[in-house]
Amino acid sequence: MADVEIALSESTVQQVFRVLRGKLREQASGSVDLVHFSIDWTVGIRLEKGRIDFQSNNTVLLKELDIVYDPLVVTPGLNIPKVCVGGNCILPSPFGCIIRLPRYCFFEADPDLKVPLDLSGLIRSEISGTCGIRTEHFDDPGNAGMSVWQAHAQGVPDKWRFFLNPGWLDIDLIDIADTVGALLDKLIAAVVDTILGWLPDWAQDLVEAILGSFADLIRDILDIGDDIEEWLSNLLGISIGLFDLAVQLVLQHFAKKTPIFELENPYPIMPAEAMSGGPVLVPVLVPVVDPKVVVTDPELTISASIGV
Amino acid sequence: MAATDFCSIHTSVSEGAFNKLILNVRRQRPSLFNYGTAAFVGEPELLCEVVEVAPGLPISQPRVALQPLLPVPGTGGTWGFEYCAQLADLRIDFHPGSQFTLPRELDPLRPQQFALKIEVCLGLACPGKEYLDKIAEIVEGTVRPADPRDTLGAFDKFRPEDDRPPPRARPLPVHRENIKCFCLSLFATGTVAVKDDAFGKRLSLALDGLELVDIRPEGLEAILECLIEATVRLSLLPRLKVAVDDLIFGLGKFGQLVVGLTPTSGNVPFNPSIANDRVAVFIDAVAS
Repeated sequence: MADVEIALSESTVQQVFRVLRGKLREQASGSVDLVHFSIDWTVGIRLEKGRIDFQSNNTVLLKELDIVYDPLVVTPGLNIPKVCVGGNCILPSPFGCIIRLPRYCFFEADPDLKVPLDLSGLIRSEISGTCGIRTEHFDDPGNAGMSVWQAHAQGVPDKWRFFLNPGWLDIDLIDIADTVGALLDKLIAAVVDTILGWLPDWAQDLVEAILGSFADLIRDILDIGDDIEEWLSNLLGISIGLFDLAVQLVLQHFAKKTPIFELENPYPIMPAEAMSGGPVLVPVLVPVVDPKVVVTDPELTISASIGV
Repeated sequence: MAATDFCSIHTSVSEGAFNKLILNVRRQRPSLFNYGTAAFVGEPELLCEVVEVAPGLPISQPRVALQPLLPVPGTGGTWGFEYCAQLADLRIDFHPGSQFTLPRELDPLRPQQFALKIEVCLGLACPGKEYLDKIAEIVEGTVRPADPRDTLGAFDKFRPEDDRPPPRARPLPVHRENIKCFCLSLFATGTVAVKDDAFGKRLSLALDGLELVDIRPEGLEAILECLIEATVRLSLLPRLKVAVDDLIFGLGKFGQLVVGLTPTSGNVPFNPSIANDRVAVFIDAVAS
């Protein structure tokens, strides 16, 4: 057993995940003007659904996290060059035009035509995948021939590095099931409000509940294919689909090169100390042995031992 | 059974971790554990116990922290002993005892108890008789014989030499064979508990037993133990309390994580818990 162990329960991590998921909202807006064509856009994202599961194969599973694009308002605009007709002189005189035809100009506005497209909350993406954490010892070649204290002072100590280890990945850029489900939900709400608006409230609620369960059924049926794909990916540990596989390989490539956390080894527990009239006392460096992050069904355990 | 079955976060640290931390400090900062006068600083091999340092520790690092001479009583500070003091052993042991053998007065370690072993070694460089004779002659040459008239008029006689600064102490000679050493072993047992007092919840240490080993006469041992125990209980332990109120960690703009000790219950009878050579802390966390 390691000297130091810190275990986090799955339920705690799930709770933190739910809080973060509920409060993560980002929004941006902007416009592009290409002389005759322009687009104004406002895009925001928030997260819905999804859950975190610890798996006994030392990975954490992120299951069906929805990215909801809300707001998602795109307004394409068309700027047609101004066209004017009329204004010709039909009765000229030596002193100028006495009678002119009336002049009319068209397409004077900029843009002339705007079609706001509000897709807020309708389009969703869905992400599922697994990830583990791998540790690796980095022997810094810059400290060859140095003592551990010299390496520490020169800023080239050896390190323990923690890397994310992405497993399979399933990204649905447009989550058909939830997108259709959201459309149906909106449709049902509109039908109940407009066509059945004369019904008493309890009856409206009843109709909405019945139709809503129908929408959920459609959602589930449409999601069967994706569920099977995710189940198979989790079983085999690989991404299914060219796009998912490509993203997985790109992520793995960068994850291998970029540690998410580094721990100096040996680790300084007491800083260097200057003595009046004497030498500077070296920092006390403690070897860290075999740090690990292990995921099991109920918990995630971070452990390490101490060397001498 | 998972460690987090009855809490959100479970942390545990072995007795080995504490002892290895102490060993690392001892080997890399030997001057925190070894004290002595100039002779011992210059020649650490004269110390009572061998100083073990980490491989490659620069030679510039002091092995012994410099101390002033111990004045010979009655010499007016002109002569002083060379001496050394070492913290030769400092270890902790969590139930069940496995790191060292406790004296019979404290044995065996009870559930939820920890034990401490502290060994202190003292050495005094005692000059040989022949050197003492020579120095005594020098000293005799500097001391005026007692004059009854001086004694009678001591209170109203002006003595300018009293205003001079005391002379710098001269060390008595050091000979390896005449360095007298002894070591004292002190054992203590105690428990960790959470107390709720006027200052709120506090994690505190309690001293259950204390034993100095093999000091004679027994009365001296009893007096020393009483002195140490009273000092520890009345001075040290009341200041060694750590607040264990709920801590709030920010999660950036997303919220906060409130962390506190899991209340004791049938499933968590002790918190912190000392068992299986480890100390464990059960923590509840709530994200909001």
